[in-house]
This record gives sequence, C-alpha cells and structure tokens, in this order.
Amino acid sequence: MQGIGGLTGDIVLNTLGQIIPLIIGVVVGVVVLEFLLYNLLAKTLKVKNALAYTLLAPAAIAILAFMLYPLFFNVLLAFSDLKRTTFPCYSPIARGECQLDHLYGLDYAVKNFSDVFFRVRDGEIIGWGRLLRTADSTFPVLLGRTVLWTVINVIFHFSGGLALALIMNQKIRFRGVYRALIVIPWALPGVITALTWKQEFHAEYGFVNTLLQGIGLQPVGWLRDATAAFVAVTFVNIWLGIPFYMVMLLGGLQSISAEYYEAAQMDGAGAWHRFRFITMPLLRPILIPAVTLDVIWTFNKLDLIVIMTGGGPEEKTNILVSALYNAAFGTAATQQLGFAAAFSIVIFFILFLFAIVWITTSGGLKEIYDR
Amino acid sequence: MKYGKFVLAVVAVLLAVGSFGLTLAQDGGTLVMWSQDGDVNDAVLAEQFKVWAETTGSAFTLEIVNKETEVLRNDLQTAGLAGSGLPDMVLGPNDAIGVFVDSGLLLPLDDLFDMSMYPINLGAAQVAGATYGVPTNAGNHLMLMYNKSLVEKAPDTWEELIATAKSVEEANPGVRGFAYNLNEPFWFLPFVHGFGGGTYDADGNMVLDSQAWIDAYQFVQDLKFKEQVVPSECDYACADGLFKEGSVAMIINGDWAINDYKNLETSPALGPDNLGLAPWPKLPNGERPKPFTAGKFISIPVGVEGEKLDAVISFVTWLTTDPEAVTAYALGTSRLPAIAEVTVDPAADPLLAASNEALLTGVGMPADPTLRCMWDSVRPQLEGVMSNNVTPADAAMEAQISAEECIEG
Repeated sequence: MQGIGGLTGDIVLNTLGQIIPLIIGVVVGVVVLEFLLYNLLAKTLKVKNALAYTLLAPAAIAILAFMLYPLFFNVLLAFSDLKRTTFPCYSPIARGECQLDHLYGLDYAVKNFSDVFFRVRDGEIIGWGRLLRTADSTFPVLLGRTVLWTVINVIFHFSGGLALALIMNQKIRFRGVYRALIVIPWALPGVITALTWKQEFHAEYGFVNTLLQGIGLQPVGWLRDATAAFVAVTFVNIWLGIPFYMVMLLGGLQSISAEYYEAAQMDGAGAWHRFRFITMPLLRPILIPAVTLDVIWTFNKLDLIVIMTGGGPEEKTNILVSALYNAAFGTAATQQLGFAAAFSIVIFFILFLFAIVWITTSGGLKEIYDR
Repeated sequence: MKYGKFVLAVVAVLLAVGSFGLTLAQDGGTLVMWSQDGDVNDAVLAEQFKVWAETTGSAFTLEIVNKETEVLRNDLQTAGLAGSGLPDMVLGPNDAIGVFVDSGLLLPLDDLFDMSMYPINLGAAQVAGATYGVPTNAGNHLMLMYNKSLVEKAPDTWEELIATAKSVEEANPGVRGFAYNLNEPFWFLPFVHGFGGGTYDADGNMVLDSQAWIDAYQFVQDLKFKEQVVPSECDYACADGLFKEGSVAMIINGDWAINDYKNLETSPALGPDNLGLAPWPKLPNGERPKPFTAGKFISIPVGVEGEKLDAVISFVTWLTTDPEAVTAYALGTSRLPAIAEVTVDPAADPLLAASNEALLTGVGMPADPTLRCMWDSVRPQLEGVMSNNVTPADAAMEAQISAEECIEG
C-alpha cells in the first residue's frame, strides 16, 4: 500500500492494532479497579467521602508511577556507580561479571556529586570537572551561561508580553485575530518550531541571512559561530515565550476594574502613574507565579537547544540541562548514569533554592496563604 | 444496587474485549528488530523476511522499528536496565557493538553461526575474541558521489575537485560545486587516515594529536576558508538535500544512501542514470583519504531464546549466506555482500561495482568501546577548526586531553 514518507496503510493498521487493544485494556482495567475500590471503601471499610477518594485514585496512582517513582529512582541512581562497565551489576538481564562489592552507597554519591564540580586525582582536587568534552564545559561556566540565558529570556518575555497585552487590551479592530496570531508560537509543537528556526538560521539558505543581505548587511554564521548561535537560540526562545506572558497578563489586565483608572484620572494621574500605581500592583498576583514558572521553564529549556544546536558549536550553547542531556545520552555521552543522576539533582536544588527565595521575598503566594 | 448487575455485565464484557485485544497485541509470533538502516533498506529486508518465511514455512512475522543511532543505543541500554523490552534483533553499524558488549546486552554468536562464512569484515564485530554481530553487508564506507549531469568525470585529486567545483559553479548559477557534512568526525577521519594517522598507536593507546591529525585539521580548514570550496555551513541534511535536488554537484556520503539516490521519487535530480560514485580524491601527498569500513551487523540481545532464537538464527543465516538471498539483498539495498562466495557483477549493477572500488580504499573500523571517546572529543574541536576559532595544533592537543579523560572515566 502506497503511503506518505514511508507511512504506509499497513503500518497505520498495524499500529492501531496494537494501540486500540491497549487503550481498551487500560480503560477496562481502570473501570474494574475503580469499581472494586469504591466497593471496598464504601461498603467494606465504610469510609466517608469514598467516592471522592475513588475518583482521585487514578490521578494519585499516575503521579506516583510517573513522577514520584522516577524521582526516587533518580536519587537512587545518584547513590550508584552505574556506568558502561558496571552495567551488568545493575541490569537484571545483562550478562557479565559484576566487579562491585556493593551496588549503592554513600561513597558512590560523594564521588558522583564531587565529579559534577571538581576533577579529583589521587584524592586531590586538581581543578573544575569537565562535564562534557571541552575544557570550558565546567560547572561555573555552564551555570553562568544558564543564568545569563534565563535572565535575558525572562526580561524579554516579560517586557514583550506586557507590551503586547497592553496593546491587545485596547479597543482595536480585529483584536481577536491579532491575539490568535500572537498565540501561534506557543501553540506550535516545540520540535517543529526548533527545526523550522534551525533552517531559517542557516548561513546560506536561511531566511534571516537573506533578510540581512537584502538590507545590505553581511551574512552571519548563525549556527557556526558560538556567540551567534547563542544569540539565535535566545532569540527563538524569546519569540516562543512572549505569548505566554501576553495571555497571562491580558487576563490580569481585563480583571482590573475601569473604576480605578477613572478615579485616578479624575485625581490628575497621567498614563505613567496609572500604569505604575494601578496596573503593576494589580498585575502582581499573576506576575509572580508567571515569572516563577518562566524562570523554571527557561532554566530547564532542553528541546530547543538540543534540536537547534545540539549544544554546539564547541559545546558553547549548552546550558546546564542540555549539558546534562549530552553527558547522559547525547553527543558527549559518558555512559555514567550515576554521575548524570547526581548532576540532575544539583540542577533541581538550584531551582528549588531559587523558587523558595523568590516566592518568599516576592510574597507571591501570600494571597493564597492569607485566605 | 439497582444497576449493579448491569454494571458488572458491562465490566465483564469490556474485560473480555480488553483481554482479547491485549492477547492480539502480544502476538508471540512476531520477531522485533530495531534497525538503524533507514526506511528504504528496511523495506528490502522486510521483503526478504517474507521470502524466508515462505521458504521455510515459518509462522513468525517481522516487525522492524527504525531508530536513529543514538536513540537505538540509549533505548537498548534503558531496556537492559529495566530488564524487559529488548528486541529480538538489532541491525546497525559496528561502532555501538563494543558499548553493548561492555554492558552485557548482546549474546556471543560464535556458537550459533558458522563464522567462517564471513571472512571479509567479521573483525569489526569482535570484542575480546568473541563475535557479537553477523554482517549483512560489507561497507558503511564514505565515498565521492557526483551528479553526472553536472560533472562528466569524477576528479582524481583534491586539486581537480576544487577546479571542477568552481567550474560547475561558474557554469550553473545557484548550484554548489561541492558539499559535505563539515563538522561530523566520521567525515573527517578519512583525511586523518590519508595523512598517515589513526586513532590508536601500535600499543593500542589513543593518539589524537599526531602530525597527521594536525595536517588533516589544516586541510579541511583550508578547503573552507582558503579554497572556499564548501558551503560556510553544512551538515548531513544539507549535503543530502542539496544533492537530491541537483543543487550541489559533488558530495561525500556513505553506501547506505545509494539506494535513496537511485530512486527518482526521493532524488529527482539523480536516479540511476545521473548518480556517479568514485573513491575519495587523492590528497597532495598522493594518498587517498581512507574511510572507515565495516558494514551493518545483526546482533542478538540477551534474553532471546527458544523458538524465537531458532527463528532468528535461521533467518539471519539464510539472509547472509544463501547466495540467492545475499544477491537479492545486496542488489536491493545497493550494498556489498559480506561473504566471499557472492561477488558483485559490474554488469548487473555498475554502481555497486563502483562502491566496491571505493570500499577497497578504506580501513577497518574497530569495535573498541573507547572509540566513542574519540568521536566525542574530536567533534567540538572540529567545530572550532571549521569556525576558524581554534588552530589545528590546539584542536589536536585538546582532543587528546579530552579523550584521555574520557577513557579514564
């Protein structure tokens, strides 16, 4: 059967033949378990709110299976010496002799975590540890680049989103059309966006250089030169992030009563003062969670960098998470999964620390706690 | 409990349907193969499997899951760690075999196949004296590919290639003379070999900073910045795409792509009439760059046993040793057979014969797991050289330091 790009009718039917029975099986399984659980809770144990617990159970189980278990497993890995040569020790089916006298231990964790920061030889620290394959791929360099990447992105996301939200909040013609157009970058799958922009930044055949040459400027080796590549991925991520702020802030702007502005205008407040003393304070409850989420998402933005540059050239567009990905699975994979797990925990704690400090100092959750 | 019986009946019916569906999904007669060989060649393999099944009366069916090199490597290790989900066969190049063997995920095959049948490239699948892959072909080698409608005769030296590329560009506005995957070490190693270097010294130590490496970095840097004969930026997709549409006259690519380029549907500017193949042009020292050669190998993961193992052995043996099957698979995939009994008839397939000529200029690729450290250490340095940020001498020195640290672990 003829198909599109290798996707033949046989393949589609074969795939559906595997997926549909699985979906039916899962649905049936859930229905049966829910039925049994409700009967157990309501009839046998006589639990109050049995229906609520029954309905919450699938989500709770999913969170346990797909979030808490992987998190626990990752911590466990950080206490292991899992790497290519010790793989048979940890795999239930791999062949080969295990040379380790224990599988998990504090000694492994100490080594894994210290390897994230330092290079140790004969018990002495001899410098920063290489997380990838170039001398520059050390923790402080990658952390610095990640902070720079996050700060630039969040500033532009916020200012661009706010500007668009203020414009979209005005009574202008075709406002709905503009809003829909602006949200498109956010609605598109990230992989498609990244692949498209990668082609647009191609030095010879991309739209960006064609545009530059059209206005008399020299073409730039966007994905060839390290600094230009960093600018290119940052630009794309800014383009991707603005709609999120626009949607959030537009919602916030529309919830501010016009009476505040009318009263301020009567008191003689100008546009700047109305913005500073009415708009911004009333946007705050929306802004703080939005910034928190944006920092976390941008700090952890993996797909765009991996697809557009792979962390290159010369490993110089890597941020912490892409370096982690490359160290564990990508182009500089050391096959040291214990080390990679420790690396991921370090990244987690950096973000955790940021979230605590930011939410505490900004009072972002104050309204929720005060309720 | 007015509706209790009804609900129970519905659940029972759904359960029965679901169980039936799951039974279908877990059909025990399917052999699963993870392949890195590309859709076009996988389709040829699937056809060959049907012939084998008809010939032997086997009830097994074959499901081929195509995976990119890195994805296949990661997925196999993830499945190995989980203890389930491994396929019944893995088809791919030899360079991951060493990693899989270290991880204990492949069965040694010496007792399962008659290895004397494969004298050409079996060494590429051997680790510590044991064999972990059966070759389905010999090759996986890079060669010069050109569009005969733009280039009459393949250049024999790099000097000729540069002159040809420039004359093509002058005569055909919008067409590039030459392009290749600039920053990928697999495309760079042939130059190192051509300048007399290698990855390991005689004692088996990794050496990435010899004069040959420096000369090779210098040569590719000059191709770009001095001769300006390659695009300022070009990866695999760029060279491949431009070649298929007739926007570049000459590229360097591997035998895996020949079938795709012969197909006018996927390569409208090429097809069997316009595609030309040749060995790499000679370097100024008179030597040709020597591509790594090995082939594609079928390995069997641990856990395959019983009837499935018997079926896998029977199919792979037939595919790789039956003269008719080997010929059909070689012609179907446009790749060279890995057994001495079957040779390429230049009249039957001139392209295959030309690929064979290029193969003879190559050097065998080892299956040593530390080879990975070479690829990963050279890649960022090559990127630096090709963006003119790093000198060839510094690139060689840095790659050596990085590789030593990588091997140390």
